[in-house]
Amino acid sequence: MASPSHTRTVTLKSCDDVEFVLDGSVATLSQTLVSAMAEDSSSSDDGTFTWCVSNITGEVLAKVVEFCNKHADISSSRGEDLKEWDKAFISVELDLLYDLILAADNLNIESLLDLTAQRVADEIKGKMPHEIRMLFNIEKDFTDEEEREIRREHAWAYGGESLKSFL
Amino acid sequence: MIPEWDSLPEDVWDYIFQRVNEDDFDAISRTCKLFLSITDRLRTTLTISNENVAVGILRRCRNIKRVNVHPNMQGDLDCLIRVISTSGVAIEALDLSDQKQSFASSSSIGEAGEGTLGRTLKILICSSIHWTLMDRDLVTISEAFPALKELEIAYEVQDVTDAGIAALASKFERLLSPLSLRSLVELCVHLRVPSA
Repeated sequence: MASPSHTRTVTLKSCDDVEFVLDGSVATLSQTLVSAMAEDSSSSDDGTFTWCVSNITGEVLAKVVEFCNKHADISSSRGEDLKEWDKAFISVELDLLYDLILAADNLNIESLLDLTAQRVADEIKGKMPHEIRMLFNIEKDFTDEEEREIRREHAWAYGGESLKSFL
Repeated sequence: MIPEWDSLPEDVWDYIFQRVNEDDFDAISRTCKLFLSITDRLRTTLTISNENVAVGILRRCRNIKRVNVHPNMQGDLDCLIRVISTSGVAIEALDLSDQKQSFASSSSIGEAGEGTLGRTLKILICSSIHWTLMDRDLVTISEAFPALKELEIAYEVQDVTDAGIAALASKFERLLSPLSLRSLVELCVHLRVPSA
């Protein structure tokens, strides 16, 4: 019988073999870890649990662990202070943001997924299609004609600014 | 190396776009085919100004909840309503405010109620329409859309009497009309009068 997840110690191992030791209560922010610990019965005696995250580097995992430690610490996790902390935490380059959002998805950490998704959404707001493609290195898979057709259809179907050029 | 963001899992993009206002969907949807299909799925509101696009759009955007019809919509209103009604999309609100066209006849309204719309429509807005609604139209509406909770018919020249309002009010939770305040006060549980 495994110990309850919040009393166990969790060792997270990155794809480049960097290890992080977390309190069980911190690890419970990750639904992936909660499920994995619930299924695991091998290491119940010494109360430790090791989990390898195959596609996350030590650099990114360090950020994820920093986030989880902060958010699990009840004394510091209050309202405005935490918001300010989150804002500073997520002021990162897009490359790291990409890795963080993948890690949040992979480890299923809802609060980190929220924060990273909101940051991406804020980047997108008000940008033109070519700007969005450039920002996120996305290939245009429409022909010019297809794009024009979508633009025309959307003007008729959703109105807004683009409609004026068709009336 | 710059990561290729379009390789993010689709449900992550879904999650991101849920945090973007629908007004920003136009640019997002023209970025790539993946984004078009995700925004199609997330859209909840249509503002139709050309009847021809309705069939295709409603085939792709299955979560539309509200359809606004542009006052100067190009095409035929009866056809548009038929397309909406038979699309199978669970549309809850239909806004015909300031509409220049009229239904061909009262039976068109009844026909619309035979499709999905008859089961799903909760809000019908006919304020400042440029045709005259009569008592029998209200009865047809109440029969065609039994799930309707809110009907807005605010316009001073509508040929609707207290009798028509009374027939409706017995069925609807909320009914907006400046015409017949006395009936409304007597019969409506929830009353909200347009500020105009």
